[in-house]
Amino acid sequence: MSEAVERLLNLALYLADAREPVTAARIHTEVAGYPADQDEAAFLRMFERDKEQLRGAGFIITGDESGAYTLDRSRTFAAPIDLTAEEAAAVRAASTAMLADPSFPYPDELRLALAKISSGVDTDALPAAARLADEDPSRQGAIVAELSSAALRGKRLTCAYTNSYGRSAPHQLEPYGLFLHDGRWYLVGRDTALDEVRTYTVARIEDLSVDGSRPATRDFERPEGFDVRRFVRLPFQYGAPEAEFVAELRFDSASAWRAVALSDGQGEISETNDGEAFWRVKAFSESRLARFVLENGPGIRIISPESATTVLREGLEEVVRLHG
Amino acid sequence: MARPNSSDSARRLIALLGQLTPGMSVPVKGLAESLGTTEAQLADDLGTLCVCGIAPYGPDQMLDVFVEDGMLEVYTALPAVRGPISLSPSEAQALAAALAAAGFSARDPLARRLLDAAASSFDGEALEQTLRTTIATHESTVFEILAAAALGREAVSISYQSEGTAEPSDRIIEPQQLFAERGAWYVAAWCRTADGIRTFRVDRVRKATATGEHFDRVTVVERDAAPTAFAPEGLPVARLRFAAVEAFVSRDWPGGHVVSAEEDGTTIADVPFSGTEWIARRVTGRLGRVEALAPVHVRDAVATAARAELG
Repeated sequence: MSEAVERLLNLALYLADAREPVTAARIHTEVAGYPADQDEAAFLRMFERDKEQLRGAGFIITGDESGAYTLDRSRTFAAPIDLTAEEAAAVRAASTAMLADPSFPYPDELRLALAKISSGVDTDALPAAARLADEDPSRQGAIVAELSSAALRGKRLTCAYTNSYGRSAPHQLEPYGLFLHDGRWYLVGRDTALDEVRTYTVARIEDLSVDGSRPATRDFERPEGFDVRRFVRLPFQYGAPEAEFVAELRFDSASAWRAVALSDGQGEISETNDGEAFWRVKAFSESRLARFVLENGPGIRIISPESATTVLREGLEEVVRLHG
Repeated sequence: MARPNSSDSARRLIALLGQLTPGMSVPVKGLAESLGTTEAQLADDLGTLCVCGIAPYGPDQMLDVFVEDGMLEVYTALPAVRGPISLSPSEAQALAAALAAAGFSARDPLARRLLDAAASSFDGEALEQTLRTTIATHESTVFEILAAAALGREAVSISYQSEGTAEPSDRIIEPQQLFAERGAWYVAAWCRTADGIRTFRVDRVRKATATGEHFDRVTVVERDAAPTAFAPEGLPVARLRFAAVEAFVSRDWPGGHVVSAEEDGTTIADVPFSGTEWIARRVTGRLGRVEALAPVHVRDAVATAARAELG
């Protein structure tokens, strides 16, 4: 094993040191670790694998028409990282928390990233923790790593999925993207049998298998302009399409600062000169909208539609009747 | 035990390569921990590193590093390596995902500057269209100040809007631990104003200012249990009645449990709560489908909250 590591490091250093493009033949001769008696075809296969490994470690290696290779130094070596103490602490806190969280899908890659940028980031221990997903986090983290890789590479997959009624069925999916919401990971993808884009709860996915027959070839292309963020929903945005309406909420001046956080990027927020904020947002359930307003209040009012304000008022009157 | 993998070893060494500077002396154990490997494995890898170099492989062309008594010693400048190696696409993706989880999106100045420097070809915006790890939106500067304060043990003045209150209140806290749970970040801190340990949701911190005053007290991080904002132990309990149309969902009422299921379809449940305003708001939000049976002060708080909302 150490021979392979030694050869890779020698190749990395050789390319970093070379001041002009170098051919594969020169590399075969001048980099220690490639057997001198190796035939050309075997050497080229080994060299190709090594190049890919170095690229996977951050080396930008380009080839020209004559078959010579160059290391792009300006992109291979990082620029100086200039962070304030607060920023460095924030990076450290976020990273420490994710490394402690079994549902974070890329712990090994994150460790390597931190090792590379550690001169720009305070490495002192900082107490931080996370539970991005709270149901079987290790399993969710492993599945998300596989699903996100398939999504980025455009690879189709098969799995068993148990729906909310407890029924399990096989599915073939084209994974488009993943998002985290309220302690759960979700997959957005096209079900090839139904020809529909749906959202799946990752914790309910089993027997996942990604088509590995042609790893370098994409099995599908996502719809143009796809953005997984459009699939993230607030609690009042679940419902039948025909129930959709636009609600307008008002945040009083003491609560207006929370509008952006509560909106989670949904809808449009405008602020008035007297410090109030107005939020126009798509909704599907009047009672859920009322609950959202009450749970996050005081200081938030439903302005429209009138039917939602009626649901809220009548509900509150019932609360008073029960507890008065 | 997992079999050593040459690719993993090479990537670890390449990650370290740009950080090795002449005169450097660091414990191998700490490096191994930060890289997620064993001290023995990393020492073995570093043993390989010291025989690497550039043709003609004379003393001036070799990596002059050595492992002795558990320490990695770097003697001279490394040939050809002029600084840290850029992040690979998968490393940049992992870092961007971690930053996004803490509220630093691809457009945030911190994430942009860091990733532009360490991975100039990486498209953070494209990643966010595929993978969204953001769990809560809060002021990124508030997170930065709290993280720096926890690291440097510095008291912070915060303006905090508790659940159910109309106006933020000012407090001095000693931040001890940041943690993310169920879609939000929290800071566990000694609150000087309350004279006790409190947990604050970061997205309810309107403003945070470092006081410059350092503290020694460590009260939270020594606990064995993982931090949680939903620990039910020792909390008062409210008894709630759920109408037949409103199922009791334990995920919505952390630590709660069903006491009885009645013949008329209603459910009686006990739910722990740390703040009266919190439980009152949650009951009020059910619009009459949940009734607080006890204690009396929770019933009163529910009625008060509902009347206030009715205006």
